Amino acid sequence: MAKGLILKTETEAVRPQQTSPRFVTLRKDQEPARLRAYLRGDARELLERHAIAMPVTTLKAGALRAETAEWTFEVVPLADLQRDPWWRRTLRALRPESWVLSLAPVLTMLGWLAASSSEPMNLSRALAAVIGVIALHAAMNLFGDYHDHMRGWDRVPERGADRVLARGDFRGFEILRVAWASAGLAAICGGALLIANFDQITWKAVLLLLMVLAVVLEFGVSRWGLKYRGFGELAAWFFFGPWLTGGLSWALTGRIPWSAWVMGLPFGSMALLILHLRNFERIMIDSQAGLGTWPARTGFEASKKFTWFCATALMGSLAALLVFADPSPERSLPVLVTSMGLGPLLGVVRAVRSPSGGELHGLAHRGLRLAWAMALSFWCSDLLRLWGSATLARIFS
Amino acid sequence: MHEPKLPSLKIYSPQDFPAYLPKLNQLFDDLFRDGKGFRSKLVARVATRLGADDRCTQLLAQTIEFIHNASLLHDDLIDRSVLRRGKPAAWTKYTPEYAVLAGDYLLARVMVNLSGYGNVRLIQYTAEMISDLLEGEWIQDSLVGDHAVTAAQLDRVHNLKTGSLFKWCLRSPFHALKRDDPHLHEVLENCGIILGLLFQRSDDLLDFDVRNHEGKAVLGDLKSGYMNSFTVFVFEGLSETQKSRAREAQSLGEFKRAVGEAHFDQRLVSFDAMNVKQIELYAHNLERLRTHLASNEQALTQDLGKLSELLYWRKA
Repeated sequence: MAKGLILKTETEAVRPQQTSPRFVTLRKDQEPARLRAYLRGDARELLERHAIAMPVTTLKAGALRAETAEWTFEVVPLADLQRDPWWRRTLRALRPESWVLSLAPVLTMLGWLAASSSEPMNLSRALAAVIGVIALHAAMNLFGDYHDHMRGWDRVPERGADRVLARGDFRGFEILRVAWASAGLAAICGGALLIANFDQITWKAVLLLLMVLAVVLEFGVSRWGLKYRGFGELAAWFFFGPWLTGGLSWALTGRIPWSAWVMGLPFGSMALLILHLRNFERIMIDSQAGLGTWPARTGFEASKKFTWFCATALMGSLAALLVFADPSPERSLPVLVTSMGLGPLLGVVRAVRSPSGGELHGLAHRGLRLAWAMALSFWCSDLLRLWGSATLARIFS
Repeated sequence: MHEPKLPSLKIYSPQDFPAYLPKLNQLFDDLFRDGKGFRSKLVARVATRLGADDRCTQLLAQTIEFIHNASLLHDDLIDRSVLRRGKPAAWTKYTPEYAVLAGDYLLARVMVNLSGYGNVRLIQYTAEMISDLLEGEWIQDSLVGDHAVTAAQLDRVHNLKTGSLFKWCLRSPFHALKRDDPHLHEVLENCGIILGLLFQRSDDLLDFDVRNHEGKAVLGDLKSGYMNSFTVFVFEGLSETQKSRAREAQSLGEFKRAVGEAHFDQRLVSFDAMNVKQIELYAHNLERLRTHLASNEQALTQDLGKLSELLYWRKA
């Protein structure tokens, strides 16, 4: 809130006596180094003044295609910024609500391996796998935020103006440091697993590793812009689905049976659904900016139909898991929970009347809630299975 | 500061349109008689400060008024508004068909006049602006009855509808004088966007009787199912029950009771603060505009400097 603004009555507002958030505009062609320093947040003048430079939001869709060569910043002293406590800001930066996309397949796979294998699970490897995947996911989120900020994408309200850098929660270089630290942790965990399975490294494993590095690079840095040209959905399906479950199977057992790939299908389909919903939410701004996401390319009605396709793929993959990979009665719980959650979600999508409709807002968030519900149902079914077998063992002992 | 001598602007003349088309001139006479002509005065002032000749200034002034009034003719019919400037709207006094055709005629006339002037860039830019206006109207129409509309969506609509006209008023004189430097136009575009937002947000406050010196009808937008920018702002953080009760309010008092009087006042202060920041951003852009102007054109920024406060606070 501006200082000095006094409200006299409900129908009068006195103009401010003194407010001066300072605005600075920098052009890429004139001051590239200073612009970069402002975006990173480590410009000397900012550090000396203990201030943060927040990019001013823009209504120009062209900002998403780097058509604007200038940025306007609002320079605010850190002391004047009303920021949440550091732990809340950190959580917001890490976006733990999105971790379900990687945690769900990893923890479910661990439960399945524990139930289906006669050998006891190597707990240290399992822990390394879980920590490594979360660290990798967090790193991807952070790198994504940083690079979107450096490109100026978080100036566009629909594309991230509520994100941590645009809000002034952190400075660019701080996010980059945490991103590298998280990536480093993921590399350490991954390296440990590679060493543990060194004698079982095959060309398939090397190929999987190279693929994940390429996907992480693209999702995090968007070096080639493939994420916004329709390949993001395919990558999400593969990386959060069969790759994670197959890779985890290899990390813990040295083998990748075909059932490990099938286990990943529902999670891949869920990731595909959520990414599609997020791009569907942004269909108008992406179309205006000329981005090549699937909804922007195919249009509003086709995007609604594609949502149904994703839902069908999700239910189909759950059925495939139930029949071919893990035919245990407890696994009907995730099928039931997911189908109960999909119904209302599809109802909301059906009710959306236009690409500018407010009902589009929050679709991806609804998708994430469904993902959490599905994940919890998988974990509950694992617990049920454990409890069931323990109970049976007691009865028959 | 030396006031520029504006040429006398004749926006509408019966000789501009065929006398044999029944009621057309009568409709235009009604339409142009009582308008304030704010946009034509704005573009004329900018053009005059830049040294444009009278013919150019007259063309620009007439163009913007024709486009603006064409959009009013169509908007009133789309929104089913029965009054315009305190008088019966054209579609009620004449017929809906005549209102549509009259609006189309004005737009066609714009194209005839501009192509006669011969500046292709100006024609192209004007066509883009009309396209944006239509897109904004289309999207706004789809938002009626949409209770989940976001502030960002409304800002986009306002930028397309209201902002486009302001941007044109600032940029077209430069295009007419063949000053097409993209960096100059970037700054002008920023100024126009902000003016459009401030004007629209101030207009949205009138719906809640805030600085309502014109005596505009209260809660008109809400009652017609349209969530304007201040409504969306007030609704932030409220429960669905509160929002539902507020949407059904038939008076301002009822609305304030539904959302909480203290909450309403606090949101008004925050809304004003948000727009004060826009006014300051506008001043920043005017400073940047100075670097693109010759020394004898600097007075333009002083003219434009008053606009943001005038449009938002609704008094000088």
